[in-house]
Amino acid sequence: MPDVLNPDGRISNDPWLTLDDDQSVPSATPVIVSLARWQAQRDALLGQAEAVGVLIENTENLDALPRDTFDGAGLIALQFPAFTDGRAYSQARVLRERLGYSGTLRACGEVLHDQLFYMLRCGFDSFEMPANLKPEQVEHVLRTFSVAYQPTASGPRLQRAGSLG
Amino acid sequence: MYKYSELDQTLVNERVEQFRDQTRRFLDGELSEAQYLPLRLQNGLYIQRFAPMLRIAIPYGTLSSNQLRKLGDIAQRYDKGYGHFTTRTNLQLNWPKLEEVPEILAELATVQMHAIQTSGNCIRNTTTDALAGVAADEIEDPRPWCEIIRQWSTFHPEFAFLPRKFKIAVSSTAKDRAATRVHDIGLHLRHDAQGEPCFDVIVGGGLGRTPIIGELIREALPWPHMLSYLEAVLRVYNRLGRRDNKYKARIKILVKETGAERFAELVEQEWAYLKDGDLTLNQAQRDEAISWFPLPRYSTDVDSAALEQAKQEDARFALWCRNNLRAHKQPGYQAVIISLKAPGEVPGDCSSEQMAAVADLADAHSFGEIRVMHEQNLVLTDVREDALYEVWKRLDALDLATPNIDKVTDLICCPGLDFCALANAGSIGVALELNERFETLDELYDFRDLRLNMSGCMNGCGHHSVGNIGVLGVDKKGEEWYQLTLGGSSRNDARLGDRLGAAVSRDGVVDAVMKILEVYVDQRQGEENFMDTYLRVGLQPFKEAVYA
Repeated sequence: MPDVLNPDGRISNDPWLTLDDDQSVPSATPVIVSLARWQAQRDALLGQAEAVGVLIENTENLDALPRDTFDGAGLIALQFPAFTDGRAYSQARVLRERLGYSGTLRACGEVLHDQLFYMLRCGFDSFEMPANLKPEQVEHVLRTFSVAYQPTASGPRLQRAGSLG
Repeated sequence: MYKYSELDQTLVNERVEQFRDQTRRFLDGELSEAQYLPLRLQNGLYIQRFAPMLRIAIPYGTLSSNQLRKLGDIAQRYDKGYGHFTTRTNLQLNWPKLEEVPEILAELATVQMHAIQTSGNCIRNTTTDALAGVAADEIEDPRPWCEIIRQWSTFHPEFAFLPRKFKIAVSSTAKDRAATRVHDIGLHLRHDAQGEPCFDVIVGGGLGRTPIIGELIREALPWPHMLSYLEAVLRVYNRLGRRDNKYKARIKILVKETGAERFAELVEQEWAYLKDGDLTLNQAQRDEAISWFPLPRYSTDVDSAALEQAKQEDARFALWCRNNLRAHKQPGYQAVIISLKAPGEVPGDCSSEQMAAVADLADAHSFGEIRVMHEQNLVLTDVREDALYEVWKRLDALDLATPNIDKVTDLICCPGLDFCALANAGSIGVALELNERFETLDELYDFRDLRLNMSGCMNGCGHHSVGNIGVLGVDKKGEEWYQLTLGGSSRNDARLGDRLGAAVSRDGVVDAVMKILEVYVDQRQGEENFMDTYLRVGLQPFKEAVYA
């Protein structure tokens, strides 16, 4: 079971199992399914699995989805196919600030040490364990910056410099 | 000028520590080259042809004398005793040692400076008119708005990994001196019918290998919405900008492929959600931003008669006054442009000694402030007319008084093959040769208002596409060749230069430019500038002369 990093710095085993679209749903295990499968089988999935998470590709236009799309979802997994591909930062903010999603928001893919701070600020609160991060560095990394200028509605609420807020 | 709050300072100090740790991890082998690369880029650190290159941010081109002195000091101690001012109004050090960069950043932080977001695929340094706050033709001072944009864009968590770099410019004069139409976003600050500030928003302009003039997507955006609208543009770009091909990743390609009208609709849709949200600016915030740029205490007892007399008596001084001064809002004051284009010098280069001396001059004569122009010169914005002669004598002694502003030898030029890992051809060598040949011709004809821009490769750092005369270095089977364009401009009449014909060889490029100037001399009517002559007579006569 791979590790995940939590925003309080805890490293834990990941209980979530990611399923292919044709894989059957095991009982008593939380599962992550594709958006298409979620949309097609939401009620059935919620009846079968302990909890259901949804994996969203970073090309998905969240504004085009019906507003109740994520009702019942226990986790949303956003994708960083390469750490230089920053589309999921925007998706995270839209989910938190516009769609009001308050469940677990996980960063998956190439999640690296040096991007965690930006991810937290955009509303992520669960991370695939960064390959280049040592456990003893975690606390320091999560507190790299104590101030920020921009108002983002989620993640730690930070003071802002100047008077822009 | 803007002084850091405690929070600004905290942020920069924390950044220094972060980068120190990142560099240590890289040098220890914990971080791969690929993982370190975007981190060092967002701190302005490139690995170039010979050595790392460090680009230091100069927000909207404004420097205090202490900052300039520190830059000179750093160039002396950590580099070869000079720095290079860029078209983004930043300062580049061409020879720092990688392991010393964290130390350099720590030194910079002591004078409220840094290298944050001077490269990488993020929002870069916002630029504006170097004469902001003093220009006689200014509608409103753009600096408070630039500072608001600086704060919003610094470590913006959503926009640190955009498809490509992103540059914003703000202009507030009838005569655009900030090249806003060739930026990712150009903001034209003006007043609406009620006298309230508002912005015309231009997107999708840019130079590089696909030069494009930007499109107006929103007129008269009320000022409280400036940031929410910028955020909407950036979010649409972050979501939809191409990531499959770095040469098609700039917003200009997205705007072109989507169509400006459709792109504007997408922004409006996004903005509908963001408008009136947390980013909305209020009057108190605007007032505070304005208070960051207080008016200097101008004297009203300036004796301008002495200036006229000095001009009468000293022809060299008079020529410099004619070419290197700019009109000031305040009677009795002038803006002094310090030419970094002395014959035989690399355009934009400035030695540590010169930096220190300019800092002293600014303290003595210009309220301790210096501006950097995107044309790679410096400005003392507030000099009393009765001090001009003294200032000139000092600048002249420093080789900083070449009377060539907006003339052909005031050329914009990238470091080219001489330093850059990307360049196909040398630009500095050609620039030096042009300078020499041009001097005699200019004495005869006094060319004014003629911009020559030169880039060592298609990336266009020397803005060749918007030069009245543009010179682009190209590689042909390992040899340096030069493509010439005519009629480009980055002002209000922004247009891209027209290709003159086949590229010319290194041996022939300076001759070709000389022939172009001869045709201009031959064809011009009265006081007509190069651009007007070119638009009237077209490409043909130039073509005939160069390829005869």
